[in-house]
Amino acid sequence: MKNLSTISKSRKLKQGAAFFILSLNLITYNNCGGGFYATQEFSSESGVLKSSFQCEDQNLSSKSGSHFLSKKQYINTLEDLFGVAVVNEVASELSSLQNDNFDEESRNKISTLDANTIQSYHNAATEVSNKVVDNTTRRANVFGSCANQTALTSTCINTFMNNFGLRVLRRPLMTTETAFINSILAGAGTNSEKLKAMLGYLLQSPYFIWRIELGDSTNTTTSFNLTDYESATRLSFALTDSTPDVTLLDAVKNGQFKTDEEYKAQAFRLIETAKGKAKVIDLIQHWSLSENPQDLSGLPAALKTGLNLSGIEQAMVTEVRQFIDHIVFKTPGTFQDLLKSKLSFATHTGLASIYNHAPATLMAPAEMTERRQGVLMRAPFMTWSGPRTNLIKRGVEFQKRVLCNQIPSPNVDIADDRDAESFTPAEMLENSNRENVAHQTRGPVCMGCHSAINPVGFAFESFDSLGRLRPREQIFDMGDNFYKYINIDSSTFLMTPDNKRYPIQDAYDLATYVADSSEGNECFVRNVHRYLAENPESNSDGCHLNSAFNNLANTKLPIKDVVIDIVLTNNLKRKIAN
Amino acid sequence: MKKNKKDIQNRFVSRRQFLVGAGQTFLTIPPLISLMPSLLSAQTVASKKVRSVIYTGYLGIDKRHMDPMTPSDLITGPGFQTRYKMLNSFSGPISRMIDSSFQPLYPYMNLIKGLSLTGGRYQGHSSSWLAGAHSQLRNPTRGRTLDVLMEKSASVYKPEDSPVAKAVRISSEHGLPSYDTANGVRLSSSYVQGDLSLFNLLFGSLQSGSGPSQTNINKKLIVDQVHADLKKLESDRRLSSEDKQLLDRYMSGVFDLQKKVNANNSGEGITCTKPALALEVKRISNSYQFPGNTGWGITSTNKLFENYIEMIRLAFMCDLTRIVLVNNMIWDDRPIGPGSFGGLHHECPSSETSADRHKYGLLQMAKLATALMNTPDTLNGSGNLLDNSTVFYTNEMGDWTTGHSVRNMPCVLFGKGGGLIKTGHYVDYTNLGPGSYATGRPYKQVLQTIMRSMGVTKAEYIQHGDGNGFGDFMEGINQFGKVYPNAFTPYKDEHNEILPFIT
Repeated sequence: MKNLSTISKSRKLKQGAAFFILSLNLITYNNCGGGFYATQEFSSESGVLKSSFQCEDQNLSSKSGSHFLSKKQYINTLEDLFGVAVVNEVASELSSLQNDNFDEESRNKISTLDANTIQSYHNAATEVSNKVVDNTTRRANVFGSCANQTALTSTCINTFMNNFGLRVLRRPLMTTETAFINSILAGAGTNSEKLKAMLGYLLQSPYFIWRIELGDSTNTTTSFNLTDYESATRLSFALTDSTPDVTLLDAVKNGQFKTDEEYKAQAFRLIETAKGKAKVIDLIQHWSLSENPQDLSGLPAALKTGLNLSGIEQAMVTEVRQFIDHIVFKTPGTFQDLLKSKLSFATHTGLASIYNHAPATLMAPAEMTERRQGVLMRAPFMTWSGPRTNLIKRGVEFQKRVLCNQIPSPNVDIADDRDAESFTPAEMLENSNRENVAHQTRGPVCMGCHSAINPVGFAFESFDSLGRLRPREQIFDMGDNFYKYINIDSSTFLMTPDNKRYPIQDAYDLATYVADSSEGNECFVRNVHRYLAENPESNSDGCHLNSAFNNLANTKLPIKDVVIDIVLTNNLKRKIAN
Repeated sequence: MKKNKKDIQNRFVSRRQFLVGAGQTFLTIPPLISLMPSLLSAQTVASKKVRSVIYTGYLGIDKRHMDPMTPSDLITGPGFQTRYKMLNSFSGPISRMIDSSFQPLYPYMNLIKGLSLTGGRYQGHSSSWLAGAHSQLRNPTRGRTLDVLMEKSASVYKPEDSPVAKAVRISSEHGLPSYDTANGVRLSSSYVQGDLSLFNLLFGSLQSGSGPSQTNINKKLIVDQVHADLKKLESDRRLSSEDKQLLDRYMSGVFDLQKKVNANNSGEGITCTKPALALEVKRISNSYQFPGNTGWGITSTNKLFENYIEMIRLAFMCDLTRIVLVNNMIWDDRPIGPGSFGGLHHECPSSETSADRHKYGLLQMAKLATALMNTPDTLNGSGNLLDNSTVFYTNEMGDWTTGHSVRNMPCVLFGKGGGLIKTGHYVDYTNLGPGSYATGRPYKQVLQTIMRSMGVTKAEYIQHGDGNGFGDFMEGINQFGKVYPNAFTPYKDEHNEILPFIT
């Protein structure tokens, strides 16, 4: 079987190489590869879309590894177990935890588990225990009838272990764990000291910090069934980035989490929770490159005249999140809706001005009237801190994240050549941003990658560094003084995966291409899988990803359904051990 | 920096320690230590608890900014292909980045030029320069950065030592160039962000009082039980090989925690009082922001570094740690994020702007060095903390543009490293001999010098690299397709040694 993780690379290789051949009729070294593949015809795009996911065996087990809780998952879990107030009170201890660090493309979590990290977990667990036990209400919530007993009894401690202990470890406690807690009970110290130690132990347990999956204890084969508790944990973290809630754990305890229908019911419930919605919105924000608008304060005054930029970056992010929420949860909409809807939720006057409509209200979203549509053409992705847009950044990030084509970091050999080809500062003033980049990257070696990067960047040139549509580019000198206007040319063409030239007028057409092409739909499915599973796709994922692709691209199910479809596979039930 | 006697009031100094210190006082204050043979200095180092700070900036420094204003003044040193000048014989600023405000530190610093990575190929963003290696691989699968090497060296920390953290790493959102490789897998070191995180790490677990409380006894019971739980997992056949690697690291971390808890309960732990600092960490949403992100101004960044410096000073004084790595890529208050590096060279309009931003980091290290110089070294019983420390200021490249060269990377080394390092020099190791390519010495030699000052032996550090020693060494260079054969041949017999002239 072809390794799925290599497929997107193959596409990239062929894309870069094909244009290279077309445009230069010459083959030379390029850092974007040299392969040449053809897997589908572009003509099929008008009919049934096809993915390159290979489905050979429906029953292959998931290769998904055991994960440590990310910082976000750890904090979410504490919030769900103890409340937001406790999390706020231990903020200083939590600040020492390692920030989440994911491989940008594969979403593999990059673990840095060392002595300092363990120390941080220890400090956080100790402080959370203190904050819970020293507060009457929290103590009662966690320890029930043990909270106010003069002498702690084994009965109430057993209840604590069976109820709250199960919530913390996401499964019933093992004999060694109950024995240790009972030894604390029998040991020296005050009630408070004992309760703090019991809770502190559970919060430092490797089974709390580590979502380790061992399956049924009698199973020693290399591929095994997960326990129902482990499946529930996978489902919950995939959909909410948090620990299973009481409803889900009760379902498992009562034997009501075994069938596909029961899985589905829980999944649809979880995705509608606040954390479930937040996770899907996070995921789509990540995919659509709209997480981090740049600081716009340094732009030349001439670009900002008459524009309210106070709090604009936060307003951009808020608007994108409201848009995604509307499309995915309120409509609920399809992938095409996400990419083609012209609704805007920009209530901020500056952002509304950028989007060229009157400020919206929460009850009455506005409509974009020009060549702007969907989530990919919103301001955060297009912002840049300088007057010349970062054309190359736009091209690289879009190719990588939205089209799943691998663009390697600049090779120094190529960077050196590229820099040598730059216009002089005086020449740059006479040329548009597009012309400057085209000139700088025109060399054969550069074009290996820039044949893929530049067209995307060119298409987005109809937007300035604030994300405003513009018919012409304002050229500024090094002192940020206005120099001249140059008309915008955003027309270009994409190379499709079957090496055909696809002409586009601008980014509007590019967004349409993503919505309607196999390439765009497939990449979205990959992104969803990677984000939820915290793993790149493997051979065992081919069947369900292909199914999800068909639901997204051909059946055109709502995005929410497709997300659940990707989570609800036999990956929730079986795992490869080694 | 203001000294606070309260900071050390609870520090136990045994009679034996006092006597050792008194003896070292005699050894370390001979006239003109720079004239002592290196071997004798090294013997002095081995008996001391030496500390190391490594400061790395992001991207490159324009090497011209380290050049002296009047390069023709340099004296050619015998036998070393070295040119030098005593810092205190310069009048006015020494270079673009070393102005006269550094003058009080001249007796404790070396400004070093002419060091290059010697892996056969220059490449910036090297990700591995702290391992003395070039970066043909962005994520090397062999080697070990010097901070990790020192942290794990049995020559640095003895079994009886129980620091709060063997090494402390402070970094920003863009990660850290510190790593270790095990079984061909690159393991990145963890780091803290912001002064509150550093405070919690260094001082968060300190206890005071005479005997272990029930709380502390329970802490020990818990950590022991967690270790037992992990031990039980170790034998589980259902664990994948990846899980087993994680488990090993997990157990190692818990083992270190056990040692600290035990030391604390037995009263052997450090009992320095917690410093009172106005911490600068800011919280936005659920993430903790490092300076440089939106809303963090330069005033806060100054305060943040002030706190870092004070905490490092206290940590060294109290032996809470001996190794600190500071990775700072933020020089102003511009945001960081994809494609934006907090105002560094990709966004700098000129090399002058770049120099200003890099100089900010250098000035912070000068402030740290000054603070260490003004603090008596109670732990070693003699001298000041800078006598028994090094503060190394470096960057990953030797130019500020996108040329990505790692040739001739300038650096500044403060401190006498326990007596190993002779200070007070502007020294340029650039090889100007016939047929040379102006490359200079292997950069890894300065790293080896720092490691040796900490007590790490040559036999230890040469294990971590290309098989021929620490890091990488090749006699020739292939840069951007151009071949420079035998560029480093003059150093092939000494690339595993420490730097000459300053030791």
